[in-house]
Amino acid sequence: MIDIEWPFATHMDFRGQKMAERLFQVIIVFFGLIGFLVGYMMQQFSMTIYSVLFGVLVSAFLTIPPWPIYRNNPVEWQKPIDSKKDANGNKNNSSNKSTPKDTRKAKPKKDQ
Amino acid sequence: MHSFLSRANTLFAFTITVLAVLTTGVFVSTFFEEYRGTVSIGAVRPIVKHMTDFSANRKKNDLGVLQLTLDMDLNPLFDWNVKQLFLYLVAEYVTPANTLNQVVLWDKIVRRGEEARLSFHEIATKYYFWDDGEHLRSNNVTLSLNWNIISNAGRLMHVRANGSTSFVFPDQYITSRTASPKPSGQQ
Repeated sequence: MIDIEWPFATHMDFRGQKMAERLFQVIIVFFGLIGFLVGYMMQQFSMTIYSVLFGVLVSAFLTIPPWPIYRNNPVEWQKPIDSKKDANGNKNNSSNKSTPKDTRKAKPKKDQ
Repeated sequence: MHSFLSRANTLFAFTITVLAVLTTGVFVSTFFEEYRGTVSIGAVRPIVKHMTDFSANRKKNDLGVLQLTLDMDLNPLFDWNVKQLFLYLVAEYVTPANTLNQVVLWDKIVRRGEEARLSFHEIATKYYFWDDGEHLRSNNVTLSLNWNIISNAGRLMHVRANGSTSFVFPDQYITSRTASPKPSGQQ
C-alpha cells in the first residue's frame, strides 16, 4: 500500500471507519438500485451507469475526507508508565481499559 | 481505512462489484427476448451473366446481378441491452452441385441512436453474387434479411427476420456489357 505523508491529518477512529464504510456501501447500493430501475424504464443502460457514478461522487465526498463525525470515539491510550514502577506496571497492564487492539501503526492521540 | 488511499481503494473496489452485479442484472432482464421483426424485401430485375471469376478459380461461373428494395423499422429491437445490430441479406438457393448455397449480398451496421427506419429503393447489391458453377439460370432464389444482435452483456444472437421473398432468375444469359450496373463494393 502506498503510504503518503499528507500535511494534514487523515485518520479516522475505528468506529468512524465502520460508519464510513457502512455509509458508502448503502449509498452506492441505493444509487445502483435507483439507476437499475430508471435504466429499465428508459431502456438506457447509460442511465444506470450515470446513477452509480453519481452515487460514487456523493459517497466520496461524504466518506473519504476525515470529517469530525468520524472522530467522535478516539482510541484511549494508556498512560505511559515510568520504569521505576515496573513491578506494579506489569500487574496493571493485565487489566486493560476499553482499548481495542491496534496492530497497525500506533499513533498517539492528537490534541484537536 | 485509516488513510485517504485506503478509503478510496475500498470505495473503488466496491463500486466495481456493484457495476458487475448491475450488468449481470441487465443480462438476466433480457435473457428471453427474441428480437423478431418483419421487413419487406424486393428483388428488382434479376439477370444472369457468365463470366470469368478472377477472385476464385479463374473458371467461367455464373454471376447474378439484381437490385434490392428494402424497407424495415428496427426501433423495437433496441432495448437497453442492445449496442448495435449487424444486418445482412442472404440469398439461398439449391444447385445440383450443393444442397444449400448461401451468398451474402448486402450488409449494414446500425448503431444504437442512429436512424433505425431504413428504406432503400433499387440499390445495387454490395457484394457480387457469384455461383460456384453455372446453375443460376432458372434457379429459384430466396432472399432473407438476418440480424446479429450485439449486446452490452449477453449472447450474440442471429435472428432471421420475417418477410423473405423469392424470385427466379431468367433462363438466358445476358451477354451485352451495357445491361447492368456494377455492385457498389464495400463501403
